[in-house]
Amino acid sequence: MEIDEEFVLAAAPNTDAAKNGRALAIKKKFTKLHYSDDESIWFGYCQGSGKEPYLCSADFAVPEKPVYRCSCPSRQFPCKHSIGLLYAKIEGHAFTVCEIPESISSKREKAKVQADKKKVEADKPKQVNKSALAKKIKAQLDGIDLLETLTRDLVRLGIGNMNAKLAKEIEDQAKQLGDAYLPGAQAALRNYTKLFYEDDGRELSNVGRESIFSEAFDQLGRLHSLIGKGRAYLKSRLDDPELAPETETAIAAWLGHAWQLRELKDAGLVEENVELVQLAFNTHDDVARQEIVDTGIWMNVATGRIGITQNFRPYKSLKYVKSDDSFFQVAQIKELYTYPGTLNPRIRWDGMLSRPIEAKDLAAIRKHARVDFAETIKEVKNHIKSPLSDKCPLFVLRFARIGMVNGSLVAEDAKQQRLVLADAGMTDEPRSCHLMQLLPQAYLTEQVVVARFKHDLDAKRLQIKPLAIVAENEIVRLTL
Amino acid sequence: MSIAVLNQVYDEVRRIAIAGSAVAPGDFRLKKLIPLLEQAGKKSPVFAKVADSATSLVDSSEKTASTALLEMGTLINSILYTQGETGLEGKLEPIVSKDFGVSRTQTSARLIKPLIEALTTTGSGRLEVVKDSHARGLFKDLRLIRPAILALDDVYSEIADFIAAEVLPIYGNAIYPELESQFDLKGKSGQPRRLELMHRLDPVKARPWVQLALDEGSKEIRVAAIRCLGTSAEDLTFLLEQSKAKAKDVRAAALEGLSRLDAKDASNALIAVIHHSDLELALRPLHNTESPDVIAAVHSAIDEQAKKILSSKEKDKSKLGKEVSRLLSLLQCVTDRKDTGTEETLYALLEDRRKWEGLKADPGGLDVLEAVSTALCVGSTAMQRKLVSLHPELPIECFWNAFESACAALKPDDVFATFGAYLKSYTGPSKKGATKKSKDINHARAETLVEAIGDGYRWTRSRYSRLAYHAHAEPKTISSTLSPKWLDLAIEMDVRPLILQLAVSGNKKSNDALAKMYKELADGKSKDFYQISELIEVLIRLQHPDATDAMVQAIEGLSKSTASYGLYWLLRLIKNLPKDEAIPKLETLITRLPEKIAEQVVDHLIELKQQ
Repeated sequence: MEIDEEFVLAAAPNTDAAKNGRALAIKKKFTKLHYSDDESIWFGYCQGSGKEPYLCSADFAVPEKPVYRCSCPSRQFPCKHSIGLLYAKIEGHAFTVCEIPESISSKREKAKVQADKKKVEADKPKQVNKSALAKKIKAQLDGIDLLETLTRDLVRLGIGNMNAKLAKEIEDQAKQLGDAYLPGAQAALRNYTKLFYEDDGRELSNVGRESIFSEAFDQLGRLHSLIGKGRAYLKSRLDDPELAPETETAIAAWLGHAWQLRELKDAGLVEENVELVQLAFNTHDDVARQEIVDTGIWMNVATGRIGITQNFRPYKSLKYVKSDDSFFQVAQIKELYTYPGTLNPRIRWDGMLSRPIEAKDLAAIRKHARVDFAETIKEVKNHIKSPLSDKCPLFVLRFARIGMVNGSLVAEDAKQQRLVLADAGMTDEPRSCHLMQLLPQAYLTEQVVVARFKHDLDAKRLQIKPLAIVAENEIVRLTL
Repeated sequence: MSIAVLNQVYDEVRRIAIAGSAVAPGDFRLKKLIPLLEQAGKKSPVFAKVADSATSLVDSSEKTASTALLEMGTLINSILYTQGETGLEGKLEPIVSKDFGVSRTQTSARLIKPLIEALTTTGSGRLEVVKDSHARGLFKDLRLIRPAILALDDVYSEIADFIAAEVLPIYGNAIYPELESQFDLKGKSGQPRRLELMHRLDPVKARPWVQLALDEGSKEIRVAAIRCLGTSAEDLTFLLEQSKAKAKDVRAAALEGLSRLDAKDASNALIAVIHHSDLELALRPLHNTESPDVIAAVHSAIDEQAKKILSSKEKDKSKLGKEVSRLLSLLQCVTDRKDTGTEETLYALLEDRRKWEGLKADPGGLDVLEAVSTALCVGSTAMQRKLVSLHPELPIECFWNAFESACAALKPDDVFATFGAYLKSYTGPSKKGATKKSKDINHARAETLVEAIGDGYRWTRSRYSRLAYHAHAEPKTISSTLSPKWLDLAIEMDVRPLILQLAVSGNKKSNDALAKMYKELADGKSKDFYQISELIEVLIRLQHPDATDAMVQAIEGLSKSTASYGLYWLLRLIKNLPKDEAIPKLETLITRLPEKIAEQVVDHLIELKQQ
């Protein structure tokens, strides 16, 4: 297992934890440093503020899934002591072979027992507590009724009569949806209400109000579809408690179902030995969900399928939840779980190894790029017409050239089919179009662009936002 | 498919959604479109579906209208999602790529995101993030160009000024279009910065904006625009008008513009201001002007003012001081000039040196002589030689200028021959509170030499910063121009500030002297952290073998003293230590240090490791 600085930075929950951990190593706070004779676990005693030193460890029994443990009371995970231990290793501090302390070996044993138990349980058919499930579904159906009432009230009121105060009142009522096990529906309603106030809660200006009418109208349609499809789905599950969550569509996620890896595995949504390359990354504040969301856009090097990772960090526990970061290597994943969805499904994994990106990886990504804009556009339109679809799908496109037409940026394929590049309506990611004129000329012809499609409701135009250029020798990121 | 009809239907349904579903029943505008839809529905079933949905909506009651409107909206939106336009007609022109060598985008989100936030949000601690990122070269990432430009409007003006002065020039005039697209004639704060930056990057392209800003801009923009004028003869009339404006900042900016113009009227305006209360506003323009008429007028004004002061019978020191202040201001205008007129004017002032020495006021005659010596010092070689030749007759306030003039105009050995003898009078620093007057003049001269050469760069810099509008941004260290004889004499007399400043690598005598100082540090005899820092700085500069050990000793020593605040300066030197030797030694040291000091050392140690 090679541990370098990049590995430690990726393991650290944030930059402060990495810095503090490194300081511990430099200050020689580790009174003892050891490793097991099979080198599967590295551990040490770190002098903290208490009387007794903390026992921290990095367990590489499963190399792609290291486990960090520490006896300190920190809620950060891994804590600075475990990070410091890794830095001590990088900086060449002397580690000696030693028997694993009982407290660690017992935890290790427990974890192994739990993993075995999990494995056994995974093979057993899942027991469903039918009465509890029925009770939950009934509560959800009541929640759907509430959502319908609220939506109808909003339609009766009219988009033009909404304001920040009313939006906040609706959001207060929508909290009941969370109580009714429908956090997804609650977020969908918030996606409508949040349109009516600024980030700091202020009322929108008149110009600002007019600019959101089309989007608000579309959001109402989504709520209507969610009510219809959600009710039908929940009723079908109430009628058949054995029925597994829907995997053909994303309706379960829309209602707020938190998928367990086991459920995904049971549904066959798992791939083995996959290599992924991150094409773009972003962190945005999702006011509707009250969370910071780290989004990674990845391509499966072998199949070319684009998936997204999402790390949700609730406002309330920002300090304790590890943030994701941009990743510049190839992720080697033993088991890749894919969430229900069509074009760019959410993906997740439990552990990974990494290796540097090579020219062949970039060549593979470039090979997967769509060469025919017309075909891709058709596919996109067919996808986004569904009210509950992801309205901003991602594709990797090969373009013949990017240039200007009457002041607009335009990408053209080999058949001279064109797509307009624009940032409008995609505020979650930093603006990127203006960067095109700052790129070397060679990156504007016969290259590959990672693009997010978006239909501009007011302009009635399907446009793309460039997120990265995949050249033969590098990926030039245009967002984060 | 007849998209036009669908778009019409969409517009009507959207209108109803904005107004509220209560207006939907019987809506005649939507109703009018139904026959068109039904007709199109004969050919395409989707139109028939839309027609049915529209009929349901129009026929709905107040109770059912909301559901009907939602149905209709969902349907029409779904259809229009499939009808979005994609291409764009017209000739595809190549992008004029502005490749200015900033194409790196491999900085991780964890580093770049806080920087973007520092540039685009408000709150404390952002300037440090921006400065630190600038020092680490993070701005050489094309994704930061736009946030950096937007930071010109930062509410915290220090950030905006730093960005304008230090960061944005990195990108060159490739950012001009972006600046231009954001420029607002009526704006405040960031907009004047934007205009001046546009003018700095591309004066020709910015010219129309400058002219427009003069006519239509906000007050702040107009002042910025005036500051950009003076590059074209057509600015003259406007600048002349503005030089009489009510607002002081407008007058100052206009005078500056006039100083850049080669025109009789511009010169006359500047000459007029010499005798006006606006003189203080015009110091920079009068200093920068190349007009012989204006320069001659300044010379005359200096002569007149000097005569007025010296012939004055005024006893009130404050009133006399005001007259002297005016003379000092005029002397600032000729500082850095090398012409014969200036030469004659300054020499004439020196003729009356005895009178000036005796003039008591605040400021007084000694300040005048110092200002004259400063002007001679940065003047022509002849002026510098003149000052050197006169220095024995001038007060101590002029001594350093004379020495610096000698360094500039004479050969190093001749400088030593003229000034070396003064050093022999040195008997150590004077006690606190002792004035130069109370001391022996030769000792005072020796002390000036020790202070000046010994403090080398810092002293020179602070001195240069006192010279208003001095053209030399980065003065040379005086010690680099001195004869080695100075070092020999300093070692012989054990004048430590000079040894530290003049020591050279490989010189046995200076190495021995430094070793002696280091020994005293090791023995704990030395407590002055400025001296300690200076010694270590020199040891590092000379790659002395004791540099790392001296640093370790010094940190340990200072960590035990109450003066540990001096560590700030000392620790900044860690990054210059020899890496291989320093890292293990400092790591061992850290374990012995108090927690707070160890934290400080760690930060610098990480910096050394990352080099």
